Amino acid sequence: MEIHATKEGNAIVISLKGRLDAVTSSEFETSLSDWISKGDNNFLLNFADLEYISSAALRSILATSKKLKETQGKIFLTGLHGPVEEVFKISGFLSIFKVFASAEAALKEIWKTKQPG
Amino acid sequence: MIEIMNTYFTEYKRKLTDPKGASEKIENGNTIVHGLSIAEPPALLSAIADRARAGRLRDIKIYSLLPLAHAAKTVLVPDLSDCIQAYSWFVAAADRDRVKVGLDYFVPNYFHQIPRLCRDFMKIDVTITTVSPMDKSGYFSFGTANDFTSTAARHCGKLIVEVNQNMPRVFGDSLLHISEVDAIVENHVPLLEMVPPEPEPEDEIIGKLIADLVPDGATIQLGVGGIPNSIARHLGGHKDLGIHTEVFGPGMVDLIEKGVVTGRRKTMHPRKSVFTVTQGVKRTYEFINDNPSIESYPVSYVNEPAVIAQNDNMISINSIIEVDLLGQCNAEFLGGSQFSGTGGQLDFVRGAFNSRGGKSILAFYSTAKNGEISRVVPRFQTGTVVTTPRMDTHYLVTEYGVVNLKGKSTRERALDIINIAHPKFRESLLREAEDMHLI
Repeated sequence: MEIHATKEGNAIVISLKGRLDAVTSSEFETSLSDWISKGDNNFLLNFADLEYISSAALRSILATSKKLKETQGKIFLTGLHGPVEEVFKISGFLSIFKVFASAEAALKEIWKTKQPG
Repeated sequence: MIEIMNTYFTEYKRKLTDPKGASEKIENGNTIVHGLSIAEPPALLSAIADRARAGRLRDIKIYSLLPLAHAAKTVLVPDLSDCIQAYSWFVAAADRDRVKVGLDYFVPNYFHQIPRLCRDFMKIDVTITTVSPMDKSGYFSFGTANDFTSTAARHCGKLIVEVNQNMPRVFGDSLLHISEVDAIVENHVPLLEMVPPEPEPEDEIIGKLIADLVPDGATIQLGVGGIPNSIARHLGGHKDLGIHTEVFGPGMVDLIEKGVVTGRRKTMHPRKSVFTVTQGVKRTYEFINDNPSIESYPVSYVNEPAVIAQNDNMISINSIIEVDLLGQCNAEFLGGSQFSGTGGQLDFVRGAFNSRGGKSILAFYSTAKNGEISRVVPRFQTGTVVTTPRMDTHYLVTEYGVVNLKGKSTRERALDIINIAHPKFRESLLREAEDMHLI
């Protein structure tokens, strides 16, 4: 799995490529934790190039989003498609996270609540 | 006498708490078993979910079998997936999708063995279940759910019961003494109901075919659903039937009230209808309440094949999803994932065949998806599990007829099975049978 992270205003955009599964979810979690420890708390996960997501990764995203609540931070999603979208749909996780059709739309929303600084 | 009663009620009052207080007895990392389906304790499940959501409970394992609405709305909600790990002994609508994506873990089992799994292979910290109100002698009843619940209740660190006056008080080995209970909550909500589906046209045909296989004086086991209800309707003219069943359902109430079921000719528990789980509607629960002709026992007894076999003329009826041309039956796997479970199917298939004069019957519609696909398949899709192995398959019934596979060659079996497939698939099935060197 490849993780590509960029800072866009007050949001960290994390683009994932490949498989986010039992093997790679800890690497993903560490990456998020690193940003959180630096004080970042709004994340946009871009799944446009993600081929597969496992339950271990779902749990990891959920646990991180709960941690972020302490600092009013949030996780947003975009790029859901194919089997990844299907997993989010049937797991009920679509009811937990806000999903955007594009990264641009998501960033607009995040910036609205908190101006980039 | 009055003094003893007072002792029990004093103990009851001492153990009585509210759901929140009861849930405080659960610690991080605990393994919980909850009562089966109708016995799901809604107030306790809700309190557990509330604590988990507040971040005060984590690393919880919870075991369900056929979870229904109360579990679905509380401990099985997606946002608790990181702190509550759910396990399923039999998948239902409430956890099917969760099992599919790996949020819940399925635990393969034969239903009659679950009490032993609870006793010898698990460390249960807390058991929670709904029970009927305590009587003057200090006894609650497990009501609709004896199954594994009674064993889990006695092999756990703490037992918390949710008393509900709507839970029937049941005879047999279904009692639980106040001294065995650690905490009590009260919640008198209506019990969940599992309303039988509207009958399909095939149900009537299959119901009639199966009823014809049941002799007067037989002991029957029926499931719950369209086909079992239709069978019950077609048994209206029978005499002196008996009941030894995994699930007691609405169709059985009708048969008892009509005098079709008397239990007079039963060789085990004569004149008593024996079950381990009840699933039905309000009328079903009211019927079994304080009814001395109805007895409940743990599933390790009711579904034990050797016990089932002691009922002469035991007729067991179950449903399957599909059968292959070898006679292997799949009753639990669909679309590449776990759809339900083995449950008690093989328990009863084996027990009924070993009964003197017994028959095991597996019923199914010949097609699925509005007739688009055949449920008789040459071979199962890779990865599909077998619920009933070919050596165990006895009678198979579809709307196109009845076949008995016992003692037949692979060729005869394949031809018999093709004969109860939908006619439009028979030609292709014959060709496949040839390619498989069966005919």
